[in-house]
Amino acid sequence: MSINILAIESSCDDTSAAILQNGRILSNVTASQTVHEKYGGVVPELASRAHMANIVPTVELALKKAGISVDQLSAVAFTRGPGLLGSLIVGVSFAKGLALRLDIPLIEVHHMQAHIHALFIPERKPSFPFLSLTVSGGHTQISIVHGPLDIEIIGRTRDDAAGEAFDKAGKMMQLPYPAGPVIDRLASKGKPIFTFPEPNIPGLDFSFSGLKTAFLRFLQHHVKNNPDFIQENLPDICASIQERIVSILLNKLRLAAVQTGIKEIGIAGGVSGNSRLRTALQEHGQSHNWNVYIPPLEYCTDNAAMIAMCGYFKFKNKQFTNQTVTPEARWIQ
Amino acid sequence: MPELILNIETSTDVCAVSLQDGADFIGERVANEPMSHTRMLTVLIEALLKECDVSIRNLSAVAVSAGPGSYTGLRVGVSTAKGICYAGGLPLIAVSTLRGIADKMIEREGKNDRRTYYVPMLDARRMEVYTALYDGAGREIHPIHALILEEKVFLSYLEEADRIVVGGPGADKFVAHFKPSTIEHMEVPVRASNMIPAAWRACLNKDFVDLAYFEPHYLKSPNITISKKSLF
Repeated sequence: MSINILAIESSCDDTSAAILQNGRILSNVTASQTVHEKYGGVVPELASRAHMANIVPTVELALKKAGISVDQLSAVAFTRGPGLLGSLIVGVSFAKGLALRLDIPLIEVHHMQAHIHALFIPERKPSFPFLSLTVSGGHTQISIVHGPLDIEIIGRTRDDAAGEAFDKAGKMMQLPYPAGPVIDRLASKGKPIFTFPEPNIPGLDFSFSGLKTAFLRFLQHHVKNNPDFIQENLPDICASIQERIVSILLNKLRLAAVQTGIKEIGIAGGVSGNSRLRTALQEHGQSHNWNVYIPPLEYCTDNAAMIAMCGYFKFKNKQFTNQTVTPEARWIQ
Repeated sequence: MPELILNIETSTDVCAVSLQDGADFIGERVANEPMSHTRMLTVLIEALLKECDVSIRNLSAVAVSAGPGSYTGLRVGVSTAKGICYAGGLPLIAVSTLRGIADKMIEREGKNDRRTYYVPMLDARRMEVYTALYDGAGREIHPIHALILEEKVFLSYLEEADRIVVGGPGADKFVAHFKPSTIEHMEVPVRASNMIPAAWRACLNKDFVDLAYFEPHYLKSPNITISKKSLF
């Protein structure tokens, strides 16, 4: 009998549903929210309201695309956290109601662990143990992945996440939200001619708050002399800040590879969609003899396919949760 | 033909579920612990169904309190109801929490008197309430709105009605604060069983809401401020 898993992701501003059958993703449907653009960031109350309006159509479309009916489902996997509480509540409550009526198991999934599981979706998968650089708007981590559900975090950010650095730099330049992809696009037309400091953090931990301040001081200094400095140099500024964020990430990843001796290297999370990070990682892979794994773009940003993949591993281990489960906005791994 | 309806009431601190067969009450479960909705709602449903010896597969519809009320509470209730309805292909019924309280008040007095006005109220913090106005025949005189409480706020109703009866958690606050002499007070707790008459009426009239696009009655737009601080 087939294992059919419905996965639901609602941790931030994307409502996503996916269907997995025996380890293969059959569908992955995401409703993105555009209401936040005019506020320059995600407004939690608006995000939650949008999830409420999106959850049923998203699940329905995922089932339809997969050609699966609700009665064929074996389990429901859902993002339990971390994320925005009001957003998580919609996905968790819907999953609980659905599982209750269908009398099938519930599987709780940690959003950041699931980003790593996106690496198992393509045909070519990393072998264990491998290193994962997981970078998103809320997290920046380096992990040793010993097995699908055996993930050891060996480095993490002490303050801001890499994606946050992109978004906040973009906000300072008055770029539209989310700024990450905009900076990526503008940077492709510029050159990294401006330099920014590399934080001096020992070991494998990250810090991006100092870079954020340095970037603001840099802009303020130049704007004082030339009010049009940002507009006149936008592609070069974008290329420069992007180059620094990417080099901070890759320098730590290289250190982790040296320390652990692991040459199977993957990246995951929203920032792994950044084109410079993707090419820089490929280049590093060639010069350091790494086997590099990069998920397709649709599995980098928040998506339910990765939740389904994690849910599948947990299903096989019979790691189910019960109806008392609640969302965990700050779920520590 | 049995018409088993599951009622979900999560719009206030009270997390409650009830079961009805047609217009008749079968059972109810209530958790009074605040902030417990996300954990307790489906647990209460399971316990209620077991106690009443009803299989969830035999439900005909789900009714949910549509607000106004706590945003988080409403989200838990409506999302859970959508999950059950979607999985079972069941119709979803939305019942205003205030309508439920008014129905309870009218049922208790049992008079069907159009010259009596019933004012159900939910606490909206500070001196604000969510309220609506119904006459003794159940007709809606004023739809749901937010109201700042003042001593004489309901007195103009006495030009149209002989009696004014206030009830619900917001009314408890009103009466404790202003001790009005010309207004009667009935203590009506928020319960899922309050929803039974309205849920049954909706079922008979096939007055179902769109499962995909239904949203609770938030009543207010979120208050969003944008920083105007200049970086340069």
